Amino acid sequence: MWKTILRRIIIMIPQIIILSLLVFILAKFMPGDPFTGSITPQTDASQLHALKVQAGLYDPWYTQYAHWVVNMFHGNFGTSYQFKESVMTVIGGRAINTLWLSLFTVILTYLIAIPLGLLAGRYEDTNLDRGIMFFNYVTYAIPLFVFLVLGLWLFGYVLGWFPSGGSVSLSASGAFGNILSRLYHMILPGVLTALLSTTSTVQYLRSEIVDQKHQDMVATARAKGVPERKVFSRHILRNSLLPIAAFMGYSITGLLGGSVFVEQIFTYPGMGQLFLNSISNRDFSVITALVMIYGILALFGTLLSDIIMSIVDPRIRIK
Amino acid sequence: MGEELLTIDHLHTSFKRGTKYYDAVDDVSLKIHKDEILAIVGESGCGKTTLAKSIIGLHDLKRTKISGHIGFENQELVGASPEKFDKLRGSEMGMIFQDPLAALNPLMRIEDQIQEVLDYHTDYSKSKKHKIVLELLDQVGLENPERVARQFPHELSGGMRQRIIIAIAIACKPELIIADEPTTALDVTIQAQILDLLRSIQAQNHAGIILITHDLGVVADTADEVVVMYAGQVVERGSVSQIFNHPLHPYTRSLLKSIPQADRAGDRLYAIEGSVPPLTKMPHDGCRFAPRIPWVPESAHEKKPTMHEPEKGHFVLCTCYQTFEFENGEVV
Repeated sequence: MWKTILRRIIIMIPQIIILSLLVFILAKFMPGDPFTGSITPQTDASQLHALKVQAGLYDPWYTQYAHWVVNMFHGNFGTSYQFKESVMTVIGGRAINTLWLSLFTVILTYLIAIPLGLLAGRYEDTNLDRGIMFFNYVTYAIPLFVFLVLGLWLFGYVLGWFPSGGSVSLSASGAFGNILSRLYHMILPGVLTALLSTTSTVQYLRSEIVDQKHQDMVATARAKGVPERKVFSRHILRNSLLPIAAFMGYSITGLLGGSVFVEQIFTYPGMGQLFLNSISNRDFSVITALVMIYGILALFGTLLSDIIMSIVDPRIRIK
Repeated sequence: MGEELLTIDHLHTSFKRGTKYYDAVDDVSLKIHKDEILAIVGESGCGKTTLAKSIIGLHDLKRTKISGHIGFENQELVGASPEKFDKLRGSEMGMIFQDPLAALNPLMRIEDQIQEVLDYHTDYSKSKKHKIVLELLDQVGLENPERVARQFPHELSGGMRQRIIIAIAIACKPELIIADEPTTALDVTIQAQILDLLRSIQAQNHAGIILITHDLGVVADTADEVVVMYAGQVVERGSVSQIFNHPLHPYTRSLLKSIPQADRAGDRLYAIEGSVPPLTKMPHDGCRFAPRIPWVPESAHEKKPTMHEPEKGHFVLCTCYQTFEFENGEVV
């Protein structure tokens, strides 16, 4: 088990190197430079030149790349041109916010999706199943940003039940008050996103269950005299959850990247919002750091999925 | 021959297609005794598996109608409750499936899969169940039972997996074992071993075995009694020597003729024209095999075929057997 994980991590090293090269080259291809935004008619050309030299922008690309990588290893992603702060500090605060929101959303998504998929599959072709499938098609058809804006308008503005933006109230006091306020701010974006993220899980689980029901394995279980209820929980359900488990790693790290839509619409200070913001301000150091982080997260997502699979499915265990 | 174990009378099993029900098993009657191996033969789609599933209650009753009579040890199984079937299955009836990989749960250790039968039918202690599992594994001819018990299905070969399925089926020493094409998915050398195993289990447990197969070689080797099915009906039934030495029904004779034989190597293999009609297009009147022997005049068939008993214990459907000969005049 540990050997497998170690091997998977070693395989990730070349992947990360390639990723870093790609990120660096793409960033260099972007038009403009960090000083483009601050140029005014009064800017002294020689002063600008000096700044660029100081920033190392005239060095050959491999020197710049080496510099960047070495710094990255020291946890130094450089300084944000926009915030005039270390990139790690800028991202750090946002990452925590995103982590909480996405954790909340993922848990909620599975809490809604798994029971729905399970009921639809178990009671296949009944009105309950048809109702759940209808819900599923509706949530699949609604674009997330429309749903979020509508939800924000209804619950945040018209009814005023939930705050319409931010991650914590300024008036929150004490550690407990702080946590409560954070939770309160997460409810609306979390619930709305979760409602629309259930589609694939519900669909997968339902069709897996319907499929498993007709497997010989299930007939064997029935032929053993196992009561129907137990046939479902011990044989059908366990096997049906495999693809869901396989996907779990991806969806956890995927959501850690933060949803650009949710954070932008709810002005929630997370990584997604920061990403959009940095692109429009050409804040290279932040962009490259974020893309690197997303990339590494995606790699860890596949690793996590592999680990989850090897725990739940004995066929995947490698000796 | 032992005492009567299972009696089937005028059994109809029909499936819902659209809004109508169609008979996949049409008026089947047969008997099986203890200590007997009854083979049910016929080509794919003739209702063998449907019949087996009707006996053991594995049909989804929302889409299936079963009528007639199935008597098993003084109990009526047609219309029996799911709870009654849960009690019978595993303890008094065991079933062996065709595909040994698909029939095992890939996520459970072998021991847990065998033990599951004991869980629901006995109140033995954990250590006793473990002991029984090891004995069963030994009985079905697996070496190193301790090791196999801890393994998962994918770690075993096809033949080993089929032995596990058999171990599951016989765990509670059932009176009746239904083996649905137990050797179809295995290669020939393993086939013989599995059939030997079935015979030895029967000798030890005195069970009645229903062996469903389309392989007449398996039947000749293993069975005592034979039931030949075609298009949901029993067309001929008798002892193994009656069926093989003196086949009557044109279908049985065609089946026997289509077995490859070493002494006729090089000849074209006989093939029965056409195929079994699909469920929704099954003719209701007349001899169902008539379309596949078009050279036989209509007058040879009965309008409403009935069972005849030309010799004791040997039954045949329709009168067409009396005058039937193959197109080239050959007699088999």
